[in-house]
Amino acid sequence: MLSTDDAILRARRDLALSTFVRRLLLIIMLIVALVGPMLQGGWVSGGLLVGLLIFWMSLQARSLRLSQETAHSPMLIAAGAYQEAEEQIERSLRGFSIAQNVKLMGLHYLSLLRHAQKRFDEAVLVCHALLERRGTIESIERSTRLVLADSLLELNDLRGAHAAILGLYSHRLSLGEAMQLLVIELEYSARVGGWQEMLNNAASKIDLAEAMPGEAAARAQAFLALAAKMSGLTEMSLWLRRRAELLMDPSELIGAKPFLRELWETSEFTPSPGNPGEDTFPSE
Amino acid sequence: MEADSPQFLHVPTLLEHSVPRPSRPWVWYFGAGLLLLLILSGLTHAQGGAVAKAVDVLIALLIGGFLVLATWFSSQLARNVAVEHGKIDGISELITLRRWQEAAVAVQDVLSQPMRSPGARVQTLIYFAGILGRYHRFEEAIEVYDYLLSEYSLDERSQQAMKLGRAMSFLRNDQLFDADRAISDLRRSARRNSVDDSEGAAPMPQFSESAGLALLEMYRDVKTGHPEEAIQVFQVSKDDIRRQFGHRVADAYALAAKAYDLLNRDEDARQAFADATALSPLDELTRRYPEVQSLAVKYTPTPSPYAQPTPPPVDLSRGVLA
Repeated sequence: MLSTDDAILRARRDLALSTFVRRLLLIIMLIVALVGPMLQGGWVSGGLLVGLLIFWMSLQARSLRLSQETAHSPMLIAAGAYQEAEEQIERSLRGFSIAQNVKLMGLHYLSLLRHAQKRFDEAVLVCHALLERRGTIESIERSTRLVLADSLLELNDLRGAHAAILGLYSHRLSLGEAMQLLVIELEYSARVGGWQEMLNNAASKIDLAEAMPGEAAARAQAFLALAAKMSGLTEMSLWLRRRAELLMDPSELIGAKPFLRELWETSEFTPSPGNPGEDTFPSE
Repeated sequence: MEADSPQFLHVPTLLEHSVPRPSRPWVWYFGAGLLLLLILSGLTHAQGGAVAKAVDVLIALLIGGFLVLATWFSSQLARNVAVEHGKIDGISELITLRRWQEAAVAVQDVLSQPMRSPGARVQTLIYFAGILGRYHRFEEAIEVYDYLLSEYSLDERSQQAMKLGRAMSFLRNDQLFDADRAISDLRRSARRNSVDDSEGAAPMPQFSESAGLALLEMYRDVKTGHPEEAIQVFQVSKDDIRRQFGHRVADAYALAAKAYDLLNRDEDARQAFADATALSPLDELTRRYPEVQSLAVKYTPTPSPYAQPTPPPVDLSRGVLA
């Protein structure tokens, strides 16, 4: 099994090699195309060029095959099949590819895998390796920064997490990424006690949370419930807490984020239909 | 096209207009041209002289030009494909955010012209069927699902997802016999997939745990007056539904509330109704399941601590458009 450090080293080496091979092939093809016919005649240079094009296309096809094989990794990770995902990622990182995307995607999937395996220190290493490289595809960069921020939060590196979050503000995020960022931001703010900041524009945050997958929706609303509780907004806190409970077992929520225990510590929640509290929702 | 135009979201028109056009075989044109010149080069070299040199230069220019043109065409193609993908991603986001009217306009725009790839077309048509269902145009939604299932050979999971949407449209359209047959077909597939997956395939989520199928069965049981079965499905599948559907687990609570109410278990119905309305606004639930409307009279929904401005309803039903 390839270790994380070895995977990073191998990816760096292969990226340099693929750049070299690509440039070399392009230069040779240009020379053969432009100069060859004048020196040798059409048959020889044409044949050589066709041969080079076929070689180039076969390398591209190999890259495409590797890329397609690795594309299943996120699904395997989501299904908890870490061993199979690791094997697929390893194949993509060990094999030669003329397209740089294959290696970059392989590294990116490795960061997702390490994050899912809760090996956060290794996830951070892979994310840094990806981000330090200039010319990384923007979508990979955004996703990598999200994984980095969450991993740093798990490692209690709040300063690093804040920097990673700030790095995302200069990007235009997709809806899915915006949802992930919201959960990360809420957790970060909860960890530093930024209750008021969490409740700013809360209605939009709740709307976004409603569109999230179950676990993320539960976490986001549990964080907001804690902020509301800390800000004395009892009715809102109880409403959000009930929503979180309906989406995920409180024991699972607390197991993943122990500071959420405070949300369930004092009063027992009893649903109070038709009895709105006195506190109001914070203004936008 | 305006949202109130008679042709807006017209299924046959959009199905016809969105068919991808076959691309011109530029590579073959180039190959044929190159072959011709190479043969010409061979012939002229046998004779020698200035003509042979000119043909060689022509070949060099042709190959150089091809490389430049191929690069330009590839970048144009990639740009156009990216634009189309961007539009489809945009539709997906609008649907996720429940901005149905904008999603409908975007789908109309995308499907009004030939699409670049069959895959993108399938994805857009799935969104199209969902939007038609949202506006209660169930017969047309079924038409789109039938088209997709008959015209494309899709993977098992995509097919199941479409069959789920089709079966839900049957139910909403009160075609109970068709719905029951569709659900039985889905259940058989679920059992088959469950066996296949246990025999060593990649450990993907089992279809037998399908939240969609559970919801469908609950709705059928509520609609056909079998509340005990609906409650049984709810109790078995609640965790799967909330894991897979997030806030849409409110649908299951609402249907469970209706089932409890049919059994006169008022306290359970009250609790399930309170949970459903804690997760989703009542008007959204009644729009999806009109049967839940009667509960609003009997039980009090959980109040939301903030009142969202409700956007004016947009009726894209066929009756209005006709």
